Amino acid sequence: MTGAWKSSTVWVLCFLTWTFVEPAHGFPGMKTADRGSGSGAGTKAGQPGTLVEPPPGGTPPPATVAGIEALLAGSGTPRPLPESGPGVISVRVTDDVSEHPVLGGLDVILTAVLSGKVIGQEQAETDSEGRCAFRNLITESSVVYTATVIYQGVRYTHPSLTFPTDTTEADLEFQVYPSGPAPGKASIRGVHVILETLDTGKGVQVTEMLFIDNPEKRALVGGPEGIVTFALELPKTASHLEVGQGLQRDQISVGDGTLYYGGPLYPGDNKVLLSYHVTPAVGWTFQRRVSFPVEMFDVFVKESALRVVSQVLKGGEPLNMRGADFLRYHGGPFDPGSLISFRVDPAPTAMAAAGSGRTSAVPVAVMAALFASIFVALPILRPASSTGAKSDTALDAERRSLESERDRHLLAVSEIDMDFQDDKLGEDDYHRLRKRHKQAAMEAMRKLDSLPAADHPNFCTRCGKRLEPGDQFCARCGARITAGG
Amino acid sequence: MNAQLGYYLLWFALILSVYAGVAAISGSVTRDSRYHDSAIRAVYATFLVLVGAAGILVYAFLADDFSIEYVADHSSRVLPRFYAATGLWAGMEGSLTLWSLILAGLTAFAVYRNRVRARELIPWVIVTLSVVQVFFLLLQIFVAGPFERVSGLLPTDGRGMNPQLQNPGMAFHPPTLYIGYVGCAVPFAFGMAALVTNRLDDLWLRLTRRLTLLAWLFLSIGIMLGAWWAYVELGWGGYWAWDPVENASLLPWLTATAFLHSAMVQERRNMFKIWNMLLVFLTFFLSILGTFLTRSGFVQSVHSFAASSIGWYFIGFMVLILVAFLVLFLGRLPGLRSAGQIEAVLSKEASFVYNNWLLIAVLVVMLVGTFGEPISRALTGVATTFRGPYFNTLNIPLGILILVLTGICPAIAWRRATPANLKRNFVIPLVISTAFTAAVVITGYALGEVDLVASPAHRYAVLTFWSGAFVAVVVGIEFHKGARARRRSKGGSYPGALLSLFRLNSRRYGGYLVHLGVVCMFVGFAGNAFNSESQHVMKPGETVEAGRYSLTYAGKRDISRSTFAGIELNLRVSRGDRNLGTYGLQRRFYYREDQTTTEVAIRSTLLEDLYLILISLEEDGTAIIKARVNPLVSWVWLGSGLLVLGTLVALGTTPAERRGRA
Repeated sequence: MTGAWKSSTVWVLCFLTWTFVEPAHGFPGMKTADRGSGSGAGTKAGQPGTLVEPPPGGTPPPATVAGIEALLAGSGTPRPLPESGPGVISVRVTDDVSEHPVLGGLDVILTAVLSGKVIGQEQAETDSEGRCAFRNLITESSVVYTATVIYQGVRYTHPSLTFPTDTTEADLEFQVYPSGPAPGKASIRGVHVILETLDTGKGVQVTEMLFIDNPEKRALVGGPEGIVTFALELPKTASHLEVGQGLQRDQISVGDGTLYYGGPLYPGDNKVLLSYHVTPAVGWTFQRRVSFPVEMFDVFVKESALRVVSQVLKGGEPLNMRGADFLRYHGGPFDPGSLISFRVDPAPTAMAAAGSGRTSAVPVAVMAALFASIFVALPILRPASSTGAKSDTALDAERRSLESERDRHLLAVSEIDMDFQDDKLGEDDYHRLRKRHKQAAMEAMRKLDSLPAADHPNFCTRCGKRLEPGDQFCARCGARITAGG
Repeated sequence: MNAQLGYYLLWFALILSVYAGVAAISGSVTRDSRYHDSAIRAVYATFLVLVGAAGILVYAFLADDFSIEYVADHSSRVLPRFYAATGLWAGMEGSLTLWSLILAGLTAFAVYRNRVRARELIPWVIVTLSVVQVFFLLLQIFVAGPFERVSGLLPTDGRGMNPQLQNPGMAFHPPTLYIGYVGCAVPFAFGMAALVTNRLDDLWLRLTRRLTLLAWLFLSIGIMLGAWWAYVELGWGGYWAWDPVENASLLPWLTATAFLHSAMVQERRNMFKIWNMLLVFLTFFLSILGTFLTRSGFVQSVHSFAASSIGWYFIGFMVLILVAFLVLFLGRLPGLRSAGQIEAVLSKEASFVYNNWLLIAVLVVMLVGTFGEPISRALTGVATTFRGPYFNTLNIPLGILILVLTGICPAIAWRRATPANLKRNFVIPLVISTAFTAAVVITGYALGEVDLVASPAHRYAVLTFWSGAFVAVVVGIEFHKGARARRRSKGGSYPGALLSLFRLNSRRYGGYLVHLGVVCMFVGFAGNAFNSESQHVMKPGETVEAGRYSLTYAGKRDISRSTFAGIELNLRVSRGDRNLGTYGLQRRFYYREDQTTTEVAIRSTLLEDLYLILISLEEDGTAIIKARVNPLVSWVWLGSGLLVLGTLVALGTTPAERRGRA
């Protein structure tokens, strides 16, 4: 037992002093199905079970709900189940692991709840086939029944059930596991922390989910009372603590700055869910020193106004989870003894990010502008009388026009030759048109020759290189330099 | 740092553009080449500065810099980097930057190439293009800035890119289209320079021929990429819906096509100067109009247009360039009148005139159909809708006439086509095309696919086949004649002679290839008349019939990627006993963009496409699919490829150019 208790302490995460503002109560918005449902038990309404004879003699309590309420008035203690109805709940308990399909001699407790108050409780023992039944039960839909089995120190609770309309029989099945000392081979698969700004805008809601995996086909227990204990620390300004599903809420207790869970770890997934508020939303630190291996630690930030600063958590990558946007920081695996810590800061703004950029953009822009301006202004800085300052004249314009006309008529001649070859032109038209264009080309060439000799060009007409006076060939491309271009 | 630097670079580009225009005017007026040279350098510097600005924006996309609003609006961390880089043109602001960059690049190129041989035109080319550049830069600096920062908190992630844009075709469609649009500005600028300097000969045409052809090529590629994207991505089974934004890209293409053809007449016969001046202006004007239509939201809603100021700026700019052009054009009108005239109704010159008028007619149809709805809504409160039937009813007959001209023009002679010439050049094509079409019709009737009596669409399709065959035979004969003449003069093999034709006269024979490409595309368009569609409800293992195909439900599976999750339905396609493969139809949900898309499956052959669309897939495996059989669609893409190839050939140099004469 001592060893088991010591084993259970490995589940202690870390300690910090904190205060509760409100006692733990049901986690809003979460289904409150208890862990016992994960073991596979389900309600099978309508199936007949073994009848149990009603107790001899005695007046049955009133059959109506009002009558029961009256009966309960002034009484704070659970009473035996009111036996004034036709309802029958049959219970069967099996153990899959040990290959014994049935278990006998187990205590099954049936509790009836009306309007949040326990109105009755009864205990029965399973027979050699693992069966027992509760009879003469009120079947009104306002009465909720819960069944609990305790096996080897582990409590299994069936989800609450009510009798559907026109149904008087219900079957419950429990699949139980043998229990053994913690920690076994259990490990924490992941710790997920979600940060969301409160509707008031003045704080952040922190939701923590621990996924503890028990791969063994037995429930793990430990400690002096056969329970596993671990503690969770909270930030100093945490408030509005709420504990959610996954573990039996009646096994949660608080004290000395520690949230204790005292209960078994069932086979498969065990989920611990809790949430609390932290005010203000930024500037606080989350710390956990883990004394066992943690495979993965995630922080999901739902609001872009928050940033997580951490040395052990990397990321900040956006994650689109079914239409919701999250920023995800993650780390792991973490060895025992690791400190997982992060600080929640305000997110950087675009203007802040731009601020530093503005100062470094100016020098670059100035340099670029300077170089470009020098490049552009260089020609203007030349003396006006340099060799490059010759401008076009009317003579040059006329020369180019004649050259264009010459080329056009020569091109027309070659096209006419091709058209005649392709039978697109009659012979008479061919000779007539060819003669006309040839004469026009010769006239253009004659006019070109009659123009005054052009000055030595300043630029090579082929490659554009600036020429020196007297150049006969271009130094770059080798083109012959002729007067007039 | 990046956004601020990008903003400064835009300002600097604006200053350089203004300076370039002012310096160019100074140089021209004072005849001082120092200002001329300085203006040219300012053009080069503008290009470099805009490369920097665009580079900063692309880098911001690749680095997921969501402090820039444009990046946050059009990208996300999970977007593949290739598509992140294309975010530059995903929205209006970046598109304006792309426009400026391409304009600066083409301006620098055109100025560099022509700075010596067109020395008197270049200053006014710089002025014109600088005015355009200044307009777009002012928009980016004051109206739709690509470097605006997000206000408040830094987003942790961007809003992502429309999943339908995450497609290779759509990645390249905007930049190719923009090169086409912007490319139309350069010949316009040379035209304006010719008007200013009164150099009304064909110099400006010859200098810009290749650039015009290049712009036309990119317009064509951009339009075809858009059509292909619509076909494979949008999942409605077609590739052209006469959507206003689609029409916007076609408008300048029509006038550019007319301009390219009638420019030849001015070069050969010094005619059509007025036509060419008007066409080059219209092409540029319509490219600005196309950009305006795409970005202002005008055709979607006049109210959304009015809510955004950018539309008004575009309208103001278009009025400015219209007024500037008209003033110059009307002032130079006497000089633009041709000395020569069209000598015969049947001549190459006349066929170009008919071609121009037919293309203008299509343009008018497109303009009425594109602007009619918003204008009627604005004026009367009731929108008159112009949809597919309107465009098809008018454009199909016009298109067929243009196609026929495509066959007549290469074979007809300049100046006058004699009856003997007509007989020599057109009898064989007429006979062959008629015989071919008759065979097609008879076969179609025998198979029950053709009904000329009941279906006007079938009649138009048959006319298209006839016209296409006619053009193909004419072009084939042209190639044959050229190869035969080449062999007569130079000897050698027939294939060698054919290939040498492209080298000898790349412009002519490249043009013939383009015409063949157009024929193929029209054949593909005609296939629409024989489309069929069916819808089926299928359960696992079931087989349904869609036309000549059997579709068997082979299975379904879930698919999951980093950017999306989805379901895929696998259909096994067979025809008779022949298994044609298994095809996957998908519906995807993109997480980041919160959007669902449909991914179609297409089985393509030269004869027809089997087009499969997943309508729904239930949990129990029941699927509703739509199956379309689209005949001859592949001919559209084949023809596009041939058009591109032909244009690239036509861009080649002539022997005279290689000798340095032209």
